[in-house]
Amino acid sequence: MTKMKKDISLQGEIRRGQFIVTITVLLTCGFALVFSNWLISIRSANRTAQATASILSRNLVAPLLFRDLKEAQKTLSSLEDHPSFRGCLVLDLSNNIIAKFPDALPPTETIQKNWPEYDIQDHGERLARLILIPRREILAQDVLQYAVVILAVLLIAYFISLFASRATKDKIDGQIKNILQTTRAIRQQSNYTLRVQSATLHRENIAEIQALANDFNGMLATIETRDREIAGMNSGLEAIVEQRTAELREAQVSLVQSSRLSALGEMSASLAHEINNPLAIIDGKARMIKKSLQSMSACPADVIPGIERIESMADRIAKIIRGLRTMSRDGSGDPFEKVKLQSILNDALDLSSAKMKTRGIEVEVEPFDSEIMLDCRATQIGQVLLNLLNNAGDAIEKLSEKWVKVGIQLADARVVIAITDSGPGIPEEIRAKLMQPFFTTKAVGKGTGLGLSISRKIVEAHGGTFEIDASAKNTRFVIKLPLQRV
Amino acid sequence: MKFKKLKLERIVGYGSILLLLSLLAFADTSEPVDEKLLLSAFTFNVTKFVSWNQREGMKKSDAVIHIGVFQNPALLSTLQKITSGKLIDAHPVAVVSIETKALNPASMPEAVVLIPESGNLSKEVPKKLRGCKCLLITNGESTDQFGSVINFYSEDSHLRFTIDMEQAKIEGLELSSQLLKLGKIL
Repeated sequence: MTKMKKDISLQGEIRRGQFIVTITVLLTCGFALVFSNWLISIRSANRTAQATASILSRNLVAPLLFRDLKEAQKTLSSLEDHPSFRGCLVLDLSNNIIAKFPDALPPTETIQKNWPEYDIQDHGERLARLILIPRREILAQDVLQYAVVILAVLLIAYFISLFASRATKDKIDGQIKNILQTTRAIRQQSNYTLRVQSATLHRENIAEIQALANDFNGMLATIETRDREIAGMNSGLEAIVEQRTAELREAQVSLVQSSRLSALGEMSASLAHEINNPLAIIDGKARMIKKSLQSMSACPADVIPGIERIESMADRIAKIIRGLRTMSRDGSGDPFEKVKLQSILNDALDLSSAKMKTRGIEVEVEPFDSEIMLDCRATQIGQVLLNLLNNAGDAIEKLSEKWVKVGIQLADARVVIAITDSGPGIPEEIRAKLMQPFFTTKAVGKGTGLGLSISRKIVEAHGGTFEIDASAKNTRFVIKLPLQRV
Repeated sequence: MKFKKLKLERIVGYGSILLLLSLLAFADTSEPVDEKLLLSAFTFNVTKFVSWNQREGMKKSDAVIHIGVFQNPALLSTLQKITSGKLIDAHPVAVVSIETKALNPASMPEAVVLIPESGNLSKEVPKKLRGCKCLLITNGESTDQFGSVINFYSEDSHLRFTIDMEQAKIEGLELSSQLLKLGKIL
């Protein structure tokens, strides 16, 4: 059987402890006081008895020597109204009472052992014995007086201790209440920034409780710090997870894109092969016809230009197919090689030209150094330029003013390619998200939201930068690429 | 009737025996006090209450206090026994006999007991010794006829004493107040 533990209040415990201490101290003090007083009384009584016996003995010598018992009796009567002794006896050497005071001393009263006894001597010769009879009531009075004094002291001390205990209790109560209030507030609000305040009702605090409060505050500070750290780690984790998820999706899309490009590349290669053969025949036959006709004198004047037109169209078709093959393949695995920038730009322009023409968009390439050589993966840079041109075309399709300008400049061993369209620029709130994967302003099904993101990655992979020029009046993308591979 | 008479006689007889026995039982069994012993004791006690140290020749502690007994060998002997080995104010005590022809006031001991064994003291003796600077002790009804300092007398079967302060002054004796309390002052 285990005993049930009882909760006891601090106040009750303090009172109980105090009561026990007070009573113990007071009783100890009381008994010590009584005991010391009793000893003093005994010593005083002994001294008094000795002094009294000495006087009586001296005065009794002569009456005893001359057997004058009346005088002896008279001498004993000096004890009348004595504060400590109510009478005395004189016994001869045979223990017979030869004188006593008072005369009316009850004959039944026997000699008590504790009555002080003295010898009456004359020049060292024992004459008789003197026995003093102490007053009983004196002792009773003393005890009563002591009892009253002790009781009074006890009561005064108890009330003083009550006041003292109340002050102590209030002090402890105040400090503990502070701690309790704080712990309850923390439990209710789950707010670990709260702290236990020092009790201000008293000038002094109990050091141990204050230390407890300080330790508690320290513990709260530790919890608060850890809380913050965990929250920070959580948010960091969330960001990392988001980033990783986005990277995964991007990788997935990139993979899909790559596979699509791969399929498109294969298809383009196949298509080019299928087209190139008849196209080579057409081009060859056209050249042969042209050569034959030029040798003929009767050739109509408008036939030759017609054949030349066929030749140029065949060249154009060949060029488009070559561009298509280049653009539609995944160039991420290609080695870096020095390529003329003009060639890359022309391929991109060729591929987008049909769309631009259909939409009525005027494409203008500002004059630049056609000899600029770029150490890059030409396919990827071409895809970036084509993507920017197509985006520009999509954006300004419905505007009244439709134009796209391409500007190329050299600056600090870098080539700066700026593609500007007639659009009003990109709003600030969209600008920040525009480079994020899967963000698009195009209608559903028209864009994946990956074009700019992939383009930026390609440029950054070449050691360049890909930015939106917010200061430009129109929509302007700027690509900066190092001329040499970094 | 005979039987009744006999019984009554027996009862009276037994009663008489019992009465006699009870009387014997209640009789005073205390020993009679020896008068000489008492006188000796009183004499010695009286000498104890005199300031001998104030007197000429008694300043030294080894100075002997002499008690002279006049014409009383029995008292002399008893007093010698009582005082044997005793001291008075650290002074040894010696009891000596005084003969009639040696009654010279100039050569008297410190205390002189004038109690002759015959009981008759000539008035001339104290007169002769007056001014001897000694404690004169007599035994009689009155001191007037003797001129002593201390005079023992009997009263209610008790031995009492009178003190002649005038005579004590003449003899240059200082007596203790305790002695004065007990004696009858003349």
